Amino acid sequence: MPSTLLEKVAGGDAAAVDECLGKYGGLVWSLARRFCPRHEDAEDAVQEVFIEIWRNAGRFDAQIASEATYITMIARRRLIDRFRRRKRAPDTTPIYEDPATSRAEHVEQMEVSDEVARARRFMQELRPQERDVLELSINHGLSQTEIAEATNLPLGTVKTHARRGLIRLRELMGVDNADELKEGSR
Amino acid sequence: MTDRWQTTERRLLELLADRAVFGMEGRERLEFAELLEIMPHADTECMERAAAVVLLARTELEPLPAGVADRVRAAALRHLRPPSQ
Repeated sequence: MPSTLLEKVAGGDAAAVDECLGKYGGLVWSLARRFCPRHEDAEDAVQEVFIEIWRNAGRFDAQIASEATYITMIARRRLIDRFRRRKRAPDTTPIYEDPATSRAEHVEQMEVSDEVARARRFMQELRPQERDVLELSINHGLSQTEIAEATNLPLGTVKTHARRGLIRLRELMGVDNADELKEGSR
Repeated sequence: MTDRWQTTERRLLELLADRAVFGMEGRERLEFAELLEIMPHADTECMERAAAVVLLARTELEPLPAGVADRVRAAALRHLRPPSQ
């Protein structure tokens, strides 16, 4: 019996597709806008990302990640592919448009907002240099060499900070998921 | 767990982190393939999920425009497999 939204999508539940779009459409759109400065590109990217989400919905495991994290991972993978095809740097500046949002969408997006807040808490747990290197690479699209030049760190040190930062984030996510599972079993 | 196993696991995590952030070079790809033969059940997406957290932390949520949602919904109906009977 499917229990998560993605499991329902994987089972072919059309209503779950609508629910998934309502809950995560804003997240995928926001990510696409950061990688695709042109509105039309972002629209195509969102469609590509969601097709990838439908294809991979059956692989989602609630024991190891939240749906928002899993969807962001798939979106990032697809958006990087597009970005490499086009060889353009992602524009990480959020572009605010404010079309009316329904109350239902607002409530659903609040859950995603909680995930964003959790991710921000995790980032604060990293050492400043680890955080900086990961920010420059993942959020600003800089290469290892570009980060070394921007930070005056040796190339190898840049890689070490990135590795340590991600390994630490993985540990934090593991602890957090374990806590959630314990709470869920109470 | 032996020291050798822990060293292998640690190195695999480093290479997965490299792949998730900067990508891997030829020599690293070969090493990665060798390590995966030793640890075939390793969670090879764990660092991509960690990288997703970095991206998520900087996300300013915007609503999906209605027209885009309609296009995605139509595409979804073409890709969804029918529910099992």
